[in-house]
Amino acid sequence: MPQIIVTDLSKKYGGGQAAEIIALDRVSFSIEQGEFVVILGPSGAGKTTLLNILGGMDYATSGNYVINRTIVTSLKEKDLCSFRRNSIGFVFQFYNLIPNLTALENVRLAESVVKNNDQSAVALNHVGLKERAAYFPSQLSGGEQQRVAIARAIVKNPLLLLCDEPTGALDIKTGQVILKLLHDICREQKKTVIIVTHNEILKEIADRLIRIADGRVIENKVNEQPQDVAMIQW
Amino acid sequence: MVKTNIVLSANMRREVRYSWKQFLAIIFIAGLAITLYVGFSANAQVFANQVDTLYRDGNMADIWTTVTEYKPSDEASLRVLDGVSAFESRMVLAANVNGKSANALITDGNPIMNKEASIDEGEFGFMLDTNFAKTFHIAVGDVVDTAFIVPAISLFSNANFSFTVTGLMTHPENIQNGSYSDCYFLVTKIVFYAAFEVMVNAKYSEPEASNIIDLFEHGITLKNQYLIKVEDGYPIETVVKDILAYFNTYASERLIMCLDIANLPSNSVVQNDIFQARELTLVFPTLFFLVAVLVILTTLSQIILKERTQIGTMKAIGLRKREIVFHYMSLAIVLCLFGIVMGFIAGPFLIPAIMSRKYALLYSLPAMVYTFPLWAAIGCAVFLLVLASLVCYFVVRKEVQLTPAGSMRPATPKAQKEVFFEKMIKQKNNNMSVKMALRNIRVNYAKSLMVIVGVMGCTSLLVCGFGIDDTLNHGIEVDMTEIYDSDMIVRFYADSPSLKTELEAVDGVKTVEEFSLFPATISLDKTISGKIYLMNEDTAFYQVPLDPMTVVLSRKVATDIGAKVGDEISFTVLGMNYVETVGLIHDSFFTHGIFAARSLFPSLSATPTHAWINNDEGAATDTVKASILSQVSAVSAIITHDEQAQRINDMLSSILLMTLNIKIFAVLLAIIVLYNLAMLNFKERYRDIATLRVLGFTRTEIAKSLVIEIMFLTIVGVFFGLFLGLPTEILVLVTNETPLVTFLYFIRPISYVWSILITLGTALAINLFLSSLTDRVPMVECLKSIE
Repeated sequence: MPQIIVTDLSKKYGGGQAAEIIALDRVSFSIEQGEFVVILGPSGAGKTTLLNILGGMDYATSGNYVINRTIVTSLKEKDLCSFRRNSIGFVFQFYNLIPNLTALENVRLAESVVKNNDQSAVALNHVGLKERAAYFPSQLSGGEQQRVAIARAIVKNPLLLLCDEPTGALDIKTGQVILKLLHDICREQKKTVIIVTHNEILKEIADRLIRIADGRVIENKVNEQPQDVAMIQW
Repeated sequence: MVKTNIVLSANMRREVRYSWKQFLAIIFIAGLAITLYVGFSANAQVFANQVDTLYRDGNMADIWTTVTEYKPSDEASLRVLDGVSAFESRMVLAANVNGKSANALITDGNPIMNKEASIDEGEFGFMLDTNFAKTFHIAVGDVVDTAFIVPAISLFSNANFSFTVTGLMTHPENIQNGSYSDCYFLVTKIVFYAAFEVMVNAKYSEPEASNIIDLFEHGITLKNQYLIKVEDGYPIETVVKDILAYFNTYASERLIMCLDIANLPSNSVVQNDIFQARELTLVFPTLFFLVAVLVILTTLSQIILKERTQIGTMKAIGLRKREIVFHYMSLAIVLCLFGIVMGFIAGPFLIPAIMSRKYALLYSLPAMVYTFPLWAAIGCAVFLLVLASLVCYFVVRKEVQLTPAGSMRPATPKAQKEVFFEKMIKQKNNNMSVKMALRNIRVNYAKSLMVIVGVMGCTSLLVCGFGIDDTLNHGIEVDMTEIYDSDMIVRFYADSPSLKTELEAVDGVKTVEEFSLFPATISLDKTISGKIYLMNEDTAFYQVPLDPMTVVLSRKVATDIGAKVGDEISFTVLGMNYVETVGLIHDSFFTHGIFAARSLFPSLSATPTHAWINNDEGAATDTVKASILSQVSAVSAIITHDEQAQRINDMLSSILLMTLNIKIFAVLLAIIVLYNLAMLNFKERYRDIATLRVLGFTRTEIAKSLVIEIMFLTIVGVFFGLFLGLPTEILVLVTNETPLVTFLYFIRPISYVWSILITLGTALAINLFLSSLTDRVPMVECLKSIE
């Protein structure tokens, strides 16, 4: 049985006096555990909205979203918070690190919400930033900041790693390092990783490609032979 | 296990450390509010402690009973009254020292009650008040000429005694510096007799001199006042009632007055100031706590707005709402704690030190002892922290209610539409700066409202400050022109006959009009102690028309007893009961009582107690006063028009000091509120300003929109503040109202003009300063990502 089942998921903004915007229009797909998924689409297609709903960061207007038999779309606010705490790891395009916390403290903040013991240093080590643990975000490069963000996401040992344009603010080389890291986490820890991007190249490394446009899924296919991250270029 | 709060506390610590400038307003206003509250509380405690110490060291009596003649039987009876714990008798005489009015206390030896609180120099014998001596340049060892005014003993009248000053003292009955005519000096009986003998020997030859000395020293008891101390917990009023009952039954003709400490003039004035000092703790800090709320609200709102993404990220990570709310509440609490520490340190040092300079001018008090008002401090600190936490909770609550995705999206500006006011202004002015300013006001309506409220507070405080000055001056003017419209008022000794002819004979006296003033118990719905003034129906000195059939009440008396025109009130004067109709109620500031024509009370009017005197044109009041005191022996005291005005000013000194504080704090308030909001405005548009600079806008053009926005809001705030000025003044003065005065609320138009000018001037200065900063905004800012 798939780990994630999304059925007829819709999201509308506005309404009333303001014009209604349909960000997601009856989106359906399923994802197996441990898949490296790339959701592809141009700006305004509804990718981030979809990612937000998958991460329990936003509510769907209608439809169902089930993960490991939990119907996320029917969760109340408090349960949704627990869901984010225990099941989801986020990686944002602009890293969203807390500027006044060091790299280690940023990871610790995420660790503090789950019952893991002293895994922050391990997570930071895992992303290769052991030496930069005491650095503040402003003292780190973009790539390093994103690696801290990944350490922050994996320290919670989540079911699902959601990444919103994780390479969007990075150069090619650094982007590749980040993608490799995410890919390795997916493979080594059997974690489901979902990446949202408008970068067509990333479809080559995906186990599953979901292409959306105007809020609808226009392509959902399994990539039988995903390329190695080191092979791709943009 | 890692605790979320510990990690977030590190974040907060660094936020405060690295971004302290944005929190300055909160720290400063919290510090100011706490400084004021703790400072004024400490001041009231320090001041009250100083008075208590003086009274304790001087072993101040609870009751003063003055008689015309000492009788051992009276003393024996009073000593055994219930509640009397200590008793002492002494002689009090009106006197002059080197021509200055004073009172002599002649005691058997070293007094036990009402003794010197401290001997500042020298020793017993002839001890002068230290301040009196300093003021009139008298030192220990100097010989002073002293005259005693005792009409009943012809030998004393204007007889000059020479004393060598043996010591200087601080005496509890000399607590008031201002009125030296009430100052006391201590003379022991032995020293007094010695001076008496010198005086008699100089005037008379033997054996007449020896006979006089023998007669005086053995035949006259130098006592006319009983001092009584009441047992702890026993009601002083009960003992006073028993004393009055004793004299009414056995010796009413001997009693001049029986005063308890609460009604002792010097004490009631100082207690009035202590009361006002306590009231001050409520008035200003309350206003500043409100401003603190406003500042915390605006600053935190802006911080929350700035940290939307961070809040969204925290929620995305899985932090609970309460953890995020707690984080920001902790921030507000930590900032307030800085202010609290500041206030705890500064308040008890600064405010009592400032206020004591004023008190030192008015009172002779022992040295100030540092006092920390622990409970007041804890109370106000807890209050401020709870207040800050609540404000913070309401600010953050809205943000944490959003979904994480909602928090991470920029706040969507509302769809704009022009309102009537905007259209109206735009028709006349198509300037881009005006348009931007008007739209900003409307879009950020909450912030705009805060500027208006802050400015409103500032203007109303200024109007209040100036208005209090106006009200006091107006009150003094009303009383001085309606009741004290004379060059001086003369007080006679008890049972004195009419002195009109004698007074008119003094050089420089133009007109004399006698009147009678008696203590009275006045009743209607309530019974109060007051006074009755009886004067000629056609008096030239009392400006309120008198009707021969009715009485006039001052507004305060009428309010206190619940009387209105037409009511019949009853009152008791010198043991006789009267019922009269109220014909008129008039406003007065500090002169309260019943005013009536002498013809209505023929029996009482037979004994004039006072006289109004006007001088000849060109005659110096002080000279006329001195002439009267030296020529008319039955005059016990004289107060001139200027002395009366000065007395009232002294009495109201702490209120006058308060008005200065109000004005200073109003400007401080304006600076904090306007600077904070203008600075937030500036930072919020940092990127916009950079973009406008890139587009080629000049500094003036960019600054114009910022200035127009704040100045427009300031004008609106000033407008509403003007209306709030009078209610604020009433609020402040109501807390300072005492039995001594009734405030006749009044604000001069010029006070409004000054308030407007000061507020607008402050706003303009702040805006011009911030506008000058636009040049420092780097243009590269506009290229940076919003993140």
